Amino acid sequence: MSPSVRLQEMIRVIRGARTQGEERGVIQRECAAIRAQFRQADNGTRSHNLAKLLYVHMLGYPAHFGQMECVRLIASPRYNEKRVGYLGAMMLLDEKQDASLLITNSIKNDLSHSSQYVQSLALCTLACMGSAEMCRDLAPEIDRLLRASNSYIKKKAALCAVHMVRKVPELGELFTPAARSLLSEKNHGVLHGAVVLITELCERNPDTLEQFRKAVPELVLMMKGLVMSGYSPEHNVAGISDPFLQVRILRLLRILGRNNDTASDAMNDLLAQVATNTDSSKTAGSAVLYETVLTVMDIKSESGLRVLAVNILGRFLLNNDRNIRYISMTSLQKIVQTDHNAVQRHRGTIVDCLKDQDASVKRRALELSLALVSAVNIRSLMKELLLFLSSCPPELRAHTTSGIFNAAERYAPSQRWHIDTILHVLTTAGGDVRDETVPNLIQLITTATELHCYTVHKLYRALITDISVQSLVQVACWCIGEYGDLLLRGECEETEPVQVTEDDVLDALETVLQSHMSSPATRGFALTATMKLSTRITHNVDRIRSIVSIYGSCIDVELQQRAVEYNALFKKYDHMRAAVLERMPVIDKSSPGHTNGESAGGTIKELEPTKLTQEIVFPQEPSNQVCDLLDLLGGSGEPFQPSPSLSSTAPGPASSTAGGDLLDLLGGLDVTPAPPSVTVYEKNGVTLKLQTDTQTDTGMTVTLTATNSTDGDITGLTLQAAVPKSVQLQMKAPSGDVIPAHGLGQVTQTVLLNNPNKVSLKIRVRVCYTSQSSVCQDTVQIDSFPSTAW
Amino acid sequence: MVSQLNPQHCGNLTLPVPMYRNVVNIFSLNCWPYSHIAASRWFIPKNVFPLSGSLWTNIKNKRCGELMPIRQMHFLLLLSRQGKLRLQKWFTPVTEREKKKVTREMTLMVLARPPHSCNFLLWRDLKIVYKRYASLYFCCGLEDQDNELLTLEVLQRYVELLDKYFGNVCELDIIFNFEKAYFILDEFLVGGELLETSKTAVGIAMEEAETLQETMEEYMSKPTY
Repeated sequence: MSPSVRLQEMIRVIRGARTQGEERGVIQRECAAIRAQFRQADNGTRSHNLAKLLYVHMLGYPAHFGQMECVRLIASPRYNEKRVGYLGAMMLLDEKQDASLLITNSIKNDLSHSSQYVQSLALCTLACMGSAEMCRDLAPEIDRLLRASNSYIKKKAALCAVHMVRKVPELGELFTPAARSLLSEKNHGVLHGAVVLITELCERNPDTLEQFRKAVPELVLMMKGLVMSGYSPEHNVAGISDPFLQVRILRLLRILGRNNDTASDAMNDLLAQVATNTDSSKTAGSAVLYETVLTVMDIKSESGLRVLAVNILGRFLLNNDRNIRYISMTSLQKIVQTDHNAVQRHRGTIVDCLKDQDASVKRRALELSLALVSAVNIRSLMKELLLFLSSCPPELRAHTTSGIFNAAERYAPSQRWHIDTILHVLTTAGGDVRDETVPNLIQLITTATELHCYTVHKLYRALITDISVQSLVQVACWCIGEYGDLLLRGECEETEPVQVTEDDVLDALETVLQSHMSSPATRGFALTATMKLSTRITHNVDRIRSIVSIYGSCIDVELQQRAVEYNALFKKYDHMRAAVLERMPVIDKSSPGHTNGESAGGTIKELEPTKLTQEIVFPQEPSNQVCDLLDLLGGSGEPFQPSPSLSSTAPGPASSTAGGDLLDLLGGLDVTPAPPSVTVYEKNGVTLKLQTDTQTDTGMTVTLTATNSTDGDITGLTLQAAVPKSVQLQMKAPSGDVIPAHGLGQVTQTVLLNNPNKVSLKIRVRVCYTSQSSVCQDTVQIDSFPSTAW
Repeated sequence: MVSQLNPQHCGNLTLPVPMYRNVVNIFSLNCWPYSHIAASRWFIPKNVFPLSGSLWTNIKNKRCGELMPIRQMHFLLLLSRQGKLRLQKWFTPVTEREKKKVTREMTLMVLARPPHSCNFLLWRDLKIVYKRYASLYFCCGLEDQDNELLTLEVLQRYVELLDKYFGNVCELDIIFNFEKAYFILDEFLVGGELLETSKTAVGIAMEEAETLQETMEEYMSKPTY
């Protein structure tokens, strides 16, 4: 007799309900009936009622009153009731519920039941929702079952043991001997469970890992048997004999062979055999090949095997099946750092995948393309990426823009190309760029002195076409303010000059000022640009004066403050106006090369003590030159202070620097000379310096700089760090891994530390590099930090 | 990061500190710490190998999976085309609220996928593998280390088992006989891992278990508890 008859009736009634309200009514009635039944004495319907309750629970209605009934049913001698009771336990109880402890005893009894099906119910439930306490109690039982029972129970006991080890890792030692003996079983289910168990044990305990390395030959034989065996109807999937077991064995071999030469050697032949003999026309074969490739890449395999693996991935890339292309790109992503050239060969296919319809494939292709950018292929690859940007799905845009900027930053073949690329991105996807793009671009423009004319023409054209993209408008305003005279001159070699009058330019700026699309920061940019033009144009100074005085009563406090100050500049300090508003000097970034990480002498950051934000570069450190100008007001240093980024964190500092608290600003600027840098490691001509920079009272930035004074380049530089337990560590990507010879260049890497408990800070750094084709590795412990530490 | 434990369940136990503290706390033993995942990303630096020595936290390089325990399937959901849940199996302890939330998000994500698209998605640090069979979407949440193609095979195998048991299975079979579907699943997947790789063994086990189901007379003659 199955419990399903009345259950099915109820299901039919519920499904027949036409509205949500009707359904709720039906369910409430049923639940009331079930509750009443639970309270009654036994009449043979308990399992039906629980089954009904479970259905109701699956629909999303509360069913907690069934928990005790589950406990009662599990303890019942009737198999029907036990079965439904255990199902209910798995669905309604989890280790957080108090009632789950009550079933421990029942499970214990059932584990020694005479019927294997009752035992299996108990094992299954234990493996699904056993809490740590239950696992500890019942571990010896499971161990017994692992050794002496039939294969039906052994395989379930093995997976139950896996669950226990995950919950309570110390139990691993208990299960290790039994696991070892299970490897000699013939039954595939038991073997599979044994391999999973051994994998779990080895992952958790390095000693066990050592022990099981001796089992590698046995595993290799097992795998060979599977690959070479003939057709077995029971286990065959699309021509592969038991792919599930094959994949698990490969995964275990991967763990055993990692960082171990002997074990890896033992596996080489097998992996080659699997890689060549497996038929990958169906998913099962591809799954096995995929796992093989992952294994080959992870262990210390010989180079021929690695080449084979990369070729397999290349073949996958050309496959019609989207899934296979997706996973091949995932794997290529993992190896792109180590086998860069091998992956470069497939660049064309990867770039084609950018045009695929599917969003997952596009995402993978994007990440891989960004990883493949190099100085050689930057132009062509950038064209593809920009094309992709114009059609990419919105969730990928931010990632794409930041990737493009990073790539352009590192490999730009010329400044003009760099500026063009950034402008292109801003026009296509300006809404999705990061905040610090604006200051970065401004800094880039100032350094490209010969391109000022070209840049300002381009930006002016962009501005009059469209003023909705804030970042672009901000840069355009700044440029026009700064280089307006070049624009008005009407001649340019690089691009077709545009004939404008001063009125046109001022009209454009005023449109930005008045438009409702402009953000307050943008309007600030526009106002300051207008002001700067007052020294660069000749005829319309009165117009500027009137604009400025109008905004003196603007509602926006920031604008009002600026306008009032500029007004003062016109009136009382008119004699200084020309000096104050003259052309900005070239801004240079203090850290070489890249936007990642913070520059060591970040001065303006002192004004935002609030949080440890990543990657804010304040390239404008007009500390020296602008200091004099700042004597008067917040000064013209302000406009390009990256108000977007500042205003996003704290509007306070931005407006205060706009002239209010002069002394604070100057005080802030005075505080930091470049923090002292300490040499922590010096050997073989390689020097590693450490520089600290305290951001907050618990967070600190440490910059490690490596230089090389030998005759040859140092390659393959990697830095690794460890800190005490309560300290949190985040390492940024290094600027590179090659240090040129003779001290011509350096590699920096930034490390962010957070020390909430203010323990004494120690850091251990391991340096690995290749010098004159010999690999060196050293560990340095740094116990004391330069004075800016706590 | 301290794993959040319900003190009532701790009792006198001191849970052992797992060896890979920063990493295991992501999937901490007593709660579904999706909220922790965003924070824990911060703690895992690249380029760092674990240095031996008990004083130091073992920091893992998440990308190459060095010494990271391979975990299992987190959940298996069967969703209908209309977004109704037909079967749910959770392999990690999750609160009811979180279950509902995850189910809702899965429904939105998976049902919105166009046909012929890739079967793999990334969601909240898990890989989601889904496959559509007639009117049902089978949806699995996997760990980073798991082999997605193999999971597709696992889903295929489960459907075949259902088909064999019910004979040309359709959604209605699973609706009206959901407890059977669960029983079959329990013979096939346990604790998030595959239990039986043979095609026939599961069917045989189900048949034998059915014989144990008592008739009404036997039922009433057994003593109750």
